[in-house]
Amino acid sequence: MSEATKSALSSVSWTELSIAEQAARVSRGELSAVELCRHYLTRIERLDVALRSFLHVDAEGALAQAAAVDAARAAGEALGPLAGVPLSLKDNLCTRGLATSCASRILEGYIPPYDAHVVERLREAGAVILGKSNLDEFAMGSSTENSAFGASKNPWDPKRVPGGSSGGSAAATAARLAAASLGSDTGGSVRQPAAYCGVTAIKPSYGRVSRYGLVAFASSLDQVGPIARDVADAATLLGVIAGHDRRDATSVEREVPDYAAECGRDPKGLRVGVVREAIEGCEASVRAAIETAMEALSGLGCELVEVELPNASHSIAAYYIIAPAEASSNLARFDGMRYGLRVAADDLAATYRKTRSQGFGAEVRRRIMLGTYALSAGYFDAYYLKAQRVRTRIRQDFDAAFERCDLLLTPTAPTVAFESGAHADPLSMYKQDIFTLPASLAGVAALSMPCGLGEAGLPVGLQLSAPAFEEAPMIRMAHALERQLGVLPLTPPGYGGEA
Amino acid sequence: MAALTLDDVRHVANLAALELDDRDPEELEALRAELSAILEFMADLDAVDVTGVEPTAHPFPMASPLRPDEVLDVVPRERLMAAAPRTQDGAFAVPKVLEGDS
Repeated sequence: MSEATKSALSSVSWTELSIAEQAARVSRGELSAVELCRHYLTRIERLDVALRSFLHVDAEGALAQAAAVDAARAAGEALGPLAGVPLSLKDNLCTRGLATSCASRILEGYIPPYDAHVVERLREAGAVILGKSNLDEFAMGSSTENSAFGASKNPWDPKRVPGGSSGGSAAATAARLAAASLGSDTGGSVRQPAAYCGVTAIKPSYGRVSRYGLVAFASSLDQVGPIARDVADAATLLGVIAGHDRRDATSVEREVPDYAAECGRDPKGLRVGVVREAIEGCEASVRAAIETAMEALSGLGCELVEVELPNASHSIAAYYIIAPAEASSNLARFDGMRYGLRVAADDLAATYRKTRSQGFGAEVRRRIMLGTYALSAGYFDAYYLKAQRVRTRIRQDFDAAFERCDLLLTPTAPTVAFESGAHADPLSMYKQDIFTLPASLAGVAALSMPCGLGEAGLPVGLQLSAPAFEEAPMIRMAHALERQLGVLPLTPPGYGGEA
Repeated sequence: MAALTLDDVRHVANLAALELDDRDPEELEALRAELSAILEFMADLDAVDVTGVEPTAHPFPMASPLRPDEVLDVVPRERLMAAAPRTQDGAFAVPKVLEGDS
């Protein structure tokens, strides 16, 4: 075997290593962080033309970070748990010196003056930031079709959407254009794209991860979460980004368990609540994959109990009042004065109006108007307050269900990835979020993991949710289920990691 | 939860500092119909009995913590202002707010 062949073969497997293993090899000097980084950059250059999963690729910066990791190792310094691991970040996470656009014209060319808390954590752990992932503008959408800079495609089938709003992060991870990624989840935005792309994502409990430097969408719902090839990688990343930060008053001072250590522990005895009604409403191949997973759970010695979430179906109406209302307030800051686009006009008020109308895309304008209406005089009680009361009911449903079980199981989405343009009507798109919205409104922990292939050979996502701050047993269960099913990690055809 | 009129749409746009004057009538009517359809769907909430139910503004009860009143590391002014569309003498330069000579 020639040296060139050997080198090609060894690099094939790099993208299939866990991120802990990539970091371990870099730390032992068996794998150069620069070579690893270059491998991913080459893949991005070759494959992302078709996928549009990245908005900005920072080749120079990434190679410099990787070189610093290699230099630190050569100098005998101790390296972090993500040493040399090449990641992408959703483009609504602030990165100092690196463009952060939220896929919006209003922030085109914006260079943040600081790093988000989670980005600081990743850098301290030795991660290499390859670039920024595409998203629905300001994270508003379920398909990444709302990006002002072009829609991302699903690596399993380019005619289909990768889901959203963290569609670029999920597509890049599935296609091995990054070892893993961070996204944000307001109503399902890491879980649903993970399901559509055949990868794993965790929406941490509200308060588990600091939102400092995450561009705000709906502040009572937003959380940053990892998207990764499998459960262990997602757990490793969560362990790095979780924890208290004084700059986010909603981040909670609570010990961070060793999430990665949960992978491999026996889930026997955990009671899993099955929401039968949710499963019955799904497309047939989704239902079949979920039922196979339920059998696997029984095989692991877990007890399945039937539970109900009687108010969960009202999540769509509640969420699409609450989230736009909070967004209309949060997005008031984009006025063309301190950062981003300014469209000059005769006076201040006209400048605001022109800047915002030209800077925001159609879905963002629509949600700002919905939210403004729901908060306006005469309608506040009928819409916003009512939605908040229904939110309480949904929380109570979870409380009642978690008295009978440790985890809840539902599909992540009612179908496999849909075709681009399939939900051009906004209300039709909103309804696709039916299974992910309840956990967001309740503030509990949730994850999505692949549980097999469904219609047209596309991945099916399974969602587990757990009481707030009970990520550890959720990860234990998910990892055991992943092994029991034996379908992971999934690779979209043609994205197997060859350089 | 009645359907919106075009005047409602203009009123909401004004509150949200969004311009509609530059939209043609068909586009405006489409927006009105779309927003109305979404708001009509929200009648779904009427099926839930919320008598005596407290609203949830946050997923869990939390106190606002206080920290010691001391100066912490902050991003320097020059770095913060580097992203502004226009600055002047260390301040954000904005269009005229009041009529008349200053």
